[in-house]
Amino acid sequence: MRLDQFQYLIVMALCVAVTLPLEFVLGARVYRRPRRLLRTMVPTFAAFVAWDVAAIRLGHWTFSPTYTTGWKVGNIPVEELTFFVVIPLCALLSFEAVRQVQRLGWVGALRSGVLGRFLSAPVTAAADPRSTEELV
Amino acid sequence: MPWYTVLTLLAVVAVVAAELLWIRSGIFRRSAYWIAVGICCAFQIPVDGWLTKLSSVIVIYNPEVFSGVRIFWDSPVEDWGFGFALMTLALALWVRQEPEAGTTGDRPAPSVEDRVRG
Repeated sequence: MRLDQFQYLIVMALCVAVTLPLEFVLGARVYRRPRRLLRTMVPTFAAFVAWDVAAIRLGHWTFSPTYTTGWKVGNIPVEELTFFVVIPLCALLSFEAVRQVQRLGWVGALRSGVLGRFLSAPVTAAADPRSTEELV
Repeated sequence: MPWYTVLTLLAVVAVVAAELLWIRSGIFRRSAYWIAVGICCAFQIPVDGWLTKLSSVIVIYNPEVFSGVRIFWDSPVEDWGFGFALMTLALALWVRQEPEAGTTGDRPAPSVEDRVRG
């Protein structure tokens, strides 16, 4: 295996890495609602993977063997399966981060995240109702 | 036959119709949705560009199945319809699971119910 074969997967990893601070620094709370996340991802993933399976079968698009691993599930490269998880996740994190800033302002949103402890006044449970861990 | 073009238009219409008629999360009335979609579409330029740039292409499109219109780093313009449909479906399903889904405007402070049900 050459490093180039991981290019598509590396792009996906970068998408995850770039959006991860939205969860923990701006307090987006997407990963921390796993059941709700699952109920969102499963139908979305199913619909778009179905399209992808058909498109690949019909020859609408193909994948460079130079820049993909060649690992497949059926006729779908694992990179594509990753794509249909990562991109919706990025959208959810962006949306929740925007909403958190709209709701609390930039300072409030930052205070709700892991950097909050470094920002002047400590956040109490009363001031930040979201600080309580959600169950789902 | 430009099947990718046709299917992309169908997907956009289907997702918008699903939201308006069935999911009814109310995301189209929320500024946070449009801002998030705008941000994601901007990030789509480098991400999609890396996957589709013709100088070292990763995802190879059959020229017979799309419009032939490539923007930024050679991404088929249809990719933005595809991305819009993908993101909108996920966001609609996500927001629908909120207790107060379907209300207009941005949400007030989260309720106790919200904290419990997430």
